[in-house]
Amino acid sequence: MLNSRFILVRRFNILLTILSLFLLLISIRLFWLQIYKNDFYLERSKSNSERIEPIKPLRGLIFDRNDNILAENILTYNLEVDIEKKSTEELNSIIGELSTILSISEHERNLFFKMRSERKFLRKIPLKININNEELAFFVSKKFLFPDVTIKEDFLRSYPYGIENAHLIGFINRISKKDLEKIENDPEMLDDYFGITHIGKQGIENSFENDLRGKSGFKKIRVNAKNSFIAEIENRIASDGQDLILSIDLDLQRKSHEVLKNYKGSLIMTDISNNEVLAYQSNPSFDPNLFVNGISFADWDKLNSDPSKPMLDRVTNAAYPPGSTIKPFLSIAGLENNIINEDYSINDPGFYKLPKTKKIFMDWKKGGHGNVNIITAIAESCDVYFYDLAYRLGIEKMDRSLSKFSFGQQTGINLPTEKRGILPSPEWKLKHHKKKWNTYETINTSIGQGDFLSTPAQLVNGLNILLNNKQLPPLSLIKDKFLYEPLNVKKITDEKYIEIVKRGMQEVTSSNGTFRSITNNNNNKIAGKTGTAQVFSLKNQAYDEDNIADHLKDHSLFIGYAPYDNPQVSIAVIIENGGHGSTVAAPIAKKMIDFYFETIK
Amino acid sequence: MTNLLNFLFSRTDKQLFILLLIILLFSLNLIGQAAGFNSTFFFKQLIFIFTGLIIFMLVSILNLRFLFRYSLIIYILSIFLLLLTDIFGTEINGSKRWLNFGVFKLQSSEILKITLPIFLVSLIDYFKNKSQTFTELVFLSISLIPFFIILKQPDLGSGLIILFSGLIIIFLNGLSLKKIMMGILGFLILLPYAWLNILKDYQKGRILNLFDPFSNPLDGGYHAIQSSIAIGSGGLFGKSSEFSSQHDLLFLPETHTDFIFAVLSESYGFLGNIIFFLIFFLFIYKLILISINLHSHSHRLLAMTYVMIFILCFLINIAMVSGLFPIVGIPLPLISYGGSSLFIYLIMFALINSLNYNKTLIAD
Repeated sequence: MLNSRFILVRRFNILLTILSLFLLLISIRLFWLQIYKNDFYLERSKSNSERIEPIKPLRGLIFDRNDNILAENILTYNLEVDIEKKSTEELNSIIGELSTILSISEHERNLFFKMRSERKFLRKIPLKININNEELAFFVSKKFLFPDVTIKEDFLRSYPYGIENAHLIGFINRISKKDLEKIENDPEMLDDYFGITHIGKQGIENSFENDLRGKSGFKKIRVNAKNSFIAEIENRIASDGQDLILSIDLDLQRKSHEVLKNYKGSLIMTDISNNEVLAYQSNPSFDPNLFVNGISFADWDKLNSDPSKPMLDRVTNAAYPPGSTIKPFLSIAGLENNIINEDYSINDPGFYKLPKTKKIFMDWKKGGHGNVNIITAIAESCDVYFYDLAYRLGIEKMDRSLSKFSFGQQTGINLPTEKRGILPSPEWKLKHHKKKWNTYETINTSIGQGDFLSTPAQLVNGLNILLNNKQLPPLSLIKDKFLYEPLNVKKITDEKYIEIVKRGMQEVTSSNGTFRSITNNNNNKIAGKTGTAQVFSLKNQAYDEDNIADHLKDHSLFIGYAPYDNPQVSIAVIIENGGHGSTVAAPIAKKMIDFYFETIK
Repeated sequence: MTNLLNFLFSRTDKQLFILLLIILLFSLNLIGQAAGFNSTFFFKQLIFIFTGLIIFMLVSILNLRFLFRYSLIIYILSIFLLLLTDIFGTEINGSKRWLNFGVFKLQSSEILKITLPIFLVSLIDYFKNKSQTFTELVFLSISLIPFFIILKQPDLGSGLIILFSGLIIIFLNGLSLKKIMMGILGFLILLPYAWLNILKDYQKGRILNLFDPFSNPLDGGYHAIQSSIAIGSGGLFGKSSEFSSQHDLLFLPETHTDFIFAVLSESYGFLGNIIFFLIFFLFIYKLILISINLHSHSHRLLAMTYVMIFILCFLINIAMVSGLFPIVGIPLPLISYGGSSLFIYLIMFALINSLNYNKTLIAD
């Protein structure tokens, strides 16, 4: 018996030892979970029960200078689908069932899945934007069938005068993959964009994105395993975007759309005193509202394949040969370098022979202008006068003077992209064409041809600098952005040279000038300069406007201001393939200036 | 009345009883935390504990000779109950484990934890003159009958516990090393067969989840992940109330039953666990002392087997909740919500208590 008790107790102790080892293992496991990995599991426990919901800020509104609204937020109702933990098949079946009671287009479906694959941190994704009241009521009555579909109030960006402001205001669009990469690389930006689905893509909407957008807030809530609300943990309110007041005048803007309607071209009209833009128009235009929730493929294809390029902003993103509109600026160059003066005159036989060569340069006017001085040379746009001036001035001095009027440089207008044009110079040629400068190119440059390119915005900016005879703040689309005068502003050149050139531009609209068609009708005292830019050089062939393909026709340009005795507004107009400056661009400028003084002022 | 109480207490080991009461209070507290202090679970458990203590008292004064004498009938009755469950049982979550008596659902397999060891131990005296191997084969067969019935319910966990109680007796009774080795070898040979033919897919899944719970986070792995989170987030001192707990927010279901240890770990941390283990250690230590000092071989064997089952279930539950063991439906003894399990363990301890009190009366 003693023996059996001994065996029993020993066996019992063996089992107890094994179980003790088991307990030790459990204790190690608990230590590992509770002490070593405590932070990890605490975090997991928190994220188990915490949900962050974004609070979207309201995007800033955009007004014109008279408080007309140009971009607004409209209250809409969207259908959103909760995508959390759902496979593509499940989502497809939800959408399939939804489409039995509401129409859901292929486009909407594609956008939904695109957003799902791109925006990984969103729990709910809009499927149908801006459903109408009928659809809303119908859905609400069937809502119990769709536990994962919710109606979400949202604000839809809308542009009431869409097509009339398209290039100026631009548009917002859904955040793309590329935008997202940029946002995700910047933690602060990621915070600001939390839950925001749209971003400014073009125009003001793009360049003032940071002001307009505001900052997202969020609501951190605690939920239980059934996703029911338990408590609020944190609430950071969103700060709405800033409103913008543009220097643009809506009436003038709409007028500019009207006057350009039948042309391919652009115009920009400014307040001379402060370089603020009053009208900014490019034609053909497009409806920016199409873009706000992802443009459909058909619409995009139509816009993209249109040969007239409606998406091209012809005010700042297209550069043209300035043609004769460069002559007032070149005159300043001649005057301040003492190549010419008020009394200097030449005889124009209708052509110019480049000294030491056999090269002949024709004047636009057959037989020439006869005896011309600086005033008549500007008024009649005498080419030979400026050929001679340029030859004697030389390209270096010419460039030095022209660059004071910001040719070849960006105007600094507050838009996302802007072309800088080309102010040709020997350095430029060497760099881009690996060739030496030829003297005849100086002659071409003098009438704004050759490699010379400038945007309409550059032309009006240069004109404003000339009229003010000082450097100005950059062209601005925002009202009162530069309220104070910069101190210590040096004059560009001697005031008397400016006066001479201004007299020349005034003579343009006189009975001898190129824009004499308005001489008897010039109530608003318009002065300016016409320009006709060759698109295609016809070698030894007469230019016959009636028998040339439209896209090879000359561009028609005009820069001008009014009134000439007290300049207030300035304008630059370009009509692509419009022919003579005096016949197309100049009358359009007159319509705008007349409208300004008769209706606005 | 006072006399009755005095009579009852005089037959009870005081230290054991006090430790038992502490553990039961612990259980009430945890169930209250898990399910709510004004939930029906809390009140029902209160009633279970009260009833259980009465059963403990009554069983403590039971005449054990009677139990041993009728052990065959008791065993047959237990098997009969199992078969009844198979026919009339209430099906919950796809398995038939309970017999419904209206006010009380009895998990019939639990009864075998008590009756099987009694039957086997009572046989030892009859088999004194038979060969050791014969005895062991008979014991094994007797243990396998309820095992297979329970396996069919299906309830692998409880079945294995019952089989183990038989194996423990065989082992304690002096199973030779050679046979132990043969047994282990046989087990290893049968393992692939069991994996392919006996285990159901969900059971295999639970075993596989052990190695990589995150591979299947929503289905089988959910419990394992959530209970790891609950335990891990408890830290050293437990989670302060400002953080919402896993069980409050329903992320970990069934916290008042099988996963109650997670509530303990989350609320009281590693330190709480250690204190909890110490209390249990003292209780088990007391049981071991009593068992070893019993006077009869068969009584020692029975008490030790009960103690072993208790420790085994205790450890398996904690191993399962902390992710060391597949999820099998074994509650935490004395702590988890539920009447069957509580009563069974209280009856076990009452029997040990009774053996202890009567040891001087029984001739060895």
